[in-house]
Amino acid sequence: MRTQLLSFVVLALPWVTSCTGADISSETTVGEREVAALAVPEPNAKASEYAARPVTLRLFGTQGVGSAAFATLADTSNWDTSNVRVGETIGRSLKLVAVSESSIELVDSTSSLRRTVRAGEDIAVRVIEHDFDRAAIESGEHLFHVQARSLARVESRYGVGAGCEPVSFAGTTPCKVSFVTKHSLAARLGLQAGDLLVAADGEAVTPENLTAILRRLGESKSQSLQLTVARGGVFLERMYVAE
Amino acid sequence: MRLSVCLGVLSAFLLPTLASAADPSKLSGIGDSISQGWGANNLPGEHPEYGFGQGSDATVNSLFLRYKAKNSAMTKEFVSVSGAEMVGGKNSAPAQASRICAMSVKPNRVVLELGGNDVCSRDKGSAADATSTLYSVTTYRNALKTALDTLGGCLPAGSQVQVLSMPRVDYLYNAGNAKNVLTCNLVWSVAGVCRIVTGESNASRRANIGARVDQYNDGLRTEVESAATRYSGKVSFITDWQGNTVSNSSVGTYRFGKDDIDGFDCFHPAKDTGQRKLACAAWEAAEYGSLSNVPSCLK
Repeated sequence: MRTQLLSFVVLALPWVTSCTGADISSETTVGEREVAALAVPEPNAKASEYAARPVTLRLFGTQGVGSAAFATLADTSNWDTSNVRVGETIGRSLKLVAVSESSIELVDSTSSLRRTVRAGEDIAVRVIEHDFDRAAIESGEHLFHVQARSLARVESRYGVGAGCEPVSFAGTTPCKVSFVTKHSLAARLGLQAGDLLVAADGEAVTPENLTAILRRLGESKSQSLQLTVARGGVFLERMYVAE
Repeated sequence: MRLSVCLGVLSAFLLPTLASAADPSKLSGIGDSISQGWGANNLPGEHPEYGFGQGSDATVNSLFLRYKAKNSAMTKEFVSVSGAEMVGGKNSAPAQASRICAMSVKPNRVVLELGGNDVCSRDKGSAADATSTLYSVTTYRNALKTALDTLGGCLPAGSQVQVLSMPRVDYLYNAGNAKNVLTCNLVWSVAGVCRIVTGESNASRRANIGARVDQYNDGLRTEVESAATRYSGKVSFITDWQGNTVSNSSVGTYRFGKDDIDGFDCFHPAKDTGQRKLACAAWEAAEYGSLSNVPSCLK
């Protein structure tokens, strides 16, 4: 009974802090022991390459069954919403371990704390991210803020990671993305297989110049890049701004 | 007697203030490519001048122009983004609602039109269930609830938020096929337009996806009614959705025809037809119209 009560207090504390809107932690650095316990560490990365931030997530809901089940979680600070499957992580330490019809279970690999969240509820968590995770952040309205040095390191480790083939579309010849490699520069820039790359700063995108175009931001040769992408039939004007 | 005099003096001061707050003065819009008038003139790209909500084109006769006819000082500021979903990504309904709340001059009329990309941006479902990859109704409702609470908390007293039901994507698919089977299917394939229905050869599976849209719209109405209760006396929340039993009684039940959609990607409302009809329906479903007139808009 006493153990149960203690467990309740430990598990309920973050909920109380989330209700008051207070951050559960203002800590921004990550220790070596935490790095060692990360669910998805960046290979050979030092502790100084990670940062932790307090985040309040809202579980909008769950869907699908079995291996196709996923949870939809939104960051309440900007309502950036992500779909997470069982086994995937939020940041590097928070792992989704179970999805049911109306709730999920998350485990923080650095503390082994297991939390249950029901649909519609908020949860205050600490998210640990590597520099690479913040190399290109979309702030909405198709505007991306990119860190040139981080992007260059991403490219150095994982490559550009995309290819495209010219297709005929509405009197133009965009380049259709044929593949995007996980963790690559292209993936960090938000490209997806099937995207039609129409133009980059007004220049036609081809299989030959795709790599050079995507590298520009990492090489600090460009302070910005406007990429016209057709996705799902709609042309999106994406702006990448180096900071 | 003394009390009634006091109340009379008080109301003389209060009533004009309340009436002023309730009068439409600024219109904002939360939405996706439909709100942005994407392809409405058969050319690729956004053409907001032909959007049903914010358009300036006389033929479309947008919601904004109709409000402006009532009040020449009416202004507009839309935050709609092509590709936006109700639930997911960086431009979701809650995210766009937050942008409205951040405006220096807040609107007192908001129209919300979203949902198409919540379906069209999902992968094809499993062999057993065409809807297996779609957001659950709970997820859809919680995202909308969050957006409505955001608006309810920041809009001035007397504001009105209109939430339009989402069109059925299987009806848009039918309209495209009726327009030009070869051309539209080629564009859909190359550009990847709403492949969950345009790449689905089984009509009953497409209908299952349409049925999920109906469920989203049922959930939408429930959330709108709940918000109306929560913010009663401050912000009113309305919707055109009245259920799926009567065709053309709302945007969500409208069976788009071949002339309603654009000739570019065969999936967006055209300016002189689809967008114009949406504008009329949205107007009739709001304060100066009548829901019973919506079917006449959608003929």
